[in-house]
Amino acid sequence: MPFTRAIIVGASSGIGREMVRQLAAKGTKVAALSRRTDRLDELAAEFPGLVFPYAHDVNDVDVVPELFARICKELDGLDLLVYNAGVMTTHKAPVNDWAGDLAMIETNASGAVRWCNEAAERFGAMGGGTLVGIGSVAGDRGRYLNPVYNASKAFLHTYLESLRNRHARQGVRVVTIKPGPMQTEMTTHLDFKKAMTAETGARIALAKMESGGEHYLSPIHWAIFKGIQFTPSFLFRRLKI
Amino acid sequence: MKARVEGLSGFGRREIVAGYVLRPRTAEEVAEAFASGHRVALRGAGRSYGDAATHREGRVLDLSAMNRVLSFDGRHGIIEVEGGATIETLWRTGLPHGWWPSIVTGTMRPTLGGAIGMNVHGKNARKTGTLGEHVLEFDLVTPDGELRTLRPTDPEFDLVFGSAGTLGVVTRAVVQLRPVVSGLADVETFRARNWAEHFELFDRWVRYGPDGEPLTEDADRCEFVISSIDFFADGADAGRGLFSRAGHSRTPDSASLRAEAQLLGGGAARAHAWRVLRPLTKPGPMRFLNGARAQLSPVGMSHPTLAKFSFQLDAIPEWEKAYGVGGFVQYQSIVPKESAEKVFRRQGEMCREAGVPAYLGVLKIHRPDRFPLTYSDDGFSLALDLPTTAETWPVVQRLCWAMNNLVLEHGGRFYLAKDSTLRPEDARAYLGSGLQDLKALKARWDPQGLLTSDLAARLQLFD
Repeated sequence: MPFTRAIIVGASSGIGREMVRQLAAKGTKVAALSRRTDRLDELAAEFPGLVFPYAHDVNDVDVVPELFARICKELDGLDLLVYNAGVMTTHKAPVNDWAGDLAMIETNASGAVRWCNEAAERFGAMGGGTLVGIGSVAGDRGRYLNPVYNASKAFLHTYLESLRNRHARQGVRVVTIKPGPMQTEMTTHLDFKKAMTAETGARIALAKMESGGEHYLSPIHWAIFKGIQFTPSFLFRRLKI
Repeated sequence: MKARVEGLSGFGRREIVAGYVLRPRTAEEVAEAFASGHRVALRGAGRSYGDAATHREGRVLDLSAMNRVLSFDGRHGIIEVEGGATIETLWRTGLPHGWWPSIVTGTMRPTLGGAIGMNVHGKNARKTGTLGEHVLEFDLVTPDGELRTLRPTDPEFDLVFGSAGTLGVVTRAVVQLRPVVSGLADVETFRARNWAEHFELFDRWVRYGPDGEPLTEDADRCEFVISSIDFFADGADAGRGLFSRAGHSRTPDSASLRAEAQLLGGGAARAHAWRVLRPLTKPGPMRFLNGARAQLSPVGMSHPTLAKFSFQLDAIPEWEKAYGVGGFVQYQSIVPKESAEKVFRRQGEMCREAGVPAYLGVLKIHRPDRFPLTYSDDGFSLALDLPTTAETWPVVQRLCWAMNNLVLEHGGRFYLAKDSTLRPEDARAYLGSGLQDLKALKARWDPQGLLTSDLAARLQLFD
């Protein structure tokens, strides 16, 4: 069944932006949230009457309950929420950067909890709905380069798993999407030229979110990162992965 | 008080909508909720069939927690309750002392606040009229921050009855009960083979005039009159069903006054009985059940308890869930007596022509009352249960709109507690100047227009 009313948190670029476009192309009414509203206005112009921009910084956690209620009222309902906001510090070597780490915790973890709690409560009360968090293959293992990025995604995965278990009997679908390396703004520093594009990633993600659970975006990602997850530590720590 | 999101619907469960629900426990908390400045709908037990007690994506004040009995005068049958107390509270408190509510709805679940807002009636509507005639006083907390105690002598008293929760919150009500010597009813049931026989039976057994005055000495043996109709029957059998007339038993029987004596137990088995009905809510089985009831149900005298006779909708808990996803709507119209048979016959035909089966039809007789917003008149009401799904809803809607036109052409009226399909012009047509009076009073008591509901919005009552 197609989605009719969706909220995309983190919609100005990457997978989020592409999801907005692909959903609107199918006639879904989409509330697109991000700090950069100029990008959102472009989307709204591309899909008049279907895309509704909302300026929002996910670190502004106090406004979320009221904003969520207001959007649901303005959309007249909700059947999908995607939490796509995510930041990654760009150090090329391990470093102690508390400000950067805190930003990742607040955006990737706290912000996700604030939004997903609201959606989970609503969908549970209504007996249905799809809640999607954009995690990452990075959450599958504590890799050496960016401990807090990895940890923040692992946090998201476990949190979503708990919601999945809590709300399953209420007919709520909780989906964890684990993109692998992708060509987006967030990863420009990593030089992923041959990696999956945001457009493809969004397309696959939208198809996968028809069913609950954790999904990788390609079987190759699954294979590589399951491999990474299960490599014994004494070996893994010698690799610069 | 914190508002928590819940999925709410009308009793017919046609549509579940999100509401942010607050549950005040005192009149002060009600006033606080209004002071916050948010628009809000009122909800009692949520027994209205349509959208009178929902506010999609908005705030809802649920008064069901304010349900205490404040006092009961066992000598004079006067009970004082908080607005969230229910019809059940009234009879459970009064019956052991020999008092029964003058008016009870077909389910005991509605709150007094909701009952006042809708100005409910019972099977004895011809005699006892509507609830407003039996309320001695009530407190209303209005959005302007006032608490007013209203009595029948106050000019605004009458307008609250039928205002459907758009004027204020009933926080307290004082109701006059009627004396009984027994917890039983004497009921006589007849088989009616067609529409004409139903109306003949009403002719024969209605013993109260249009002013509620008894026409014979033994009129109270026919205080309650009601018919159920098999709408699957066609042609010569159209309108067949069962007619009952009943009165309070005059044989003193103090054992039957005990609350426990009134109802079957049943426990876990009864709690799940609706699941057994679920596969039966289809045209085939419903046709069979209606036909069986009309032709085979026992007739003659019976002596059920008052609760079993009055609260037939409570016999199977949560029976409304048997309709499944998609639920149903109840279409009820009140038509002046000279046109009733013609209009109701035509409604049956229209349902058939539209391909919408009526799974239940109930015929009652009414009399006029003094309330400006009333649905009541010197005539009959017919209530039809029409199953709905997301796919069939547009068809059902169009059918009901066509029936609205028919009813209005014959000077009929509508009961908001049941409504899901009135259009703004329909409401304006039958409410007439009553609607203007309601708007004027609301402008004084709710100047910011805080009190709303999906029903009020759909009917554009205050636009």
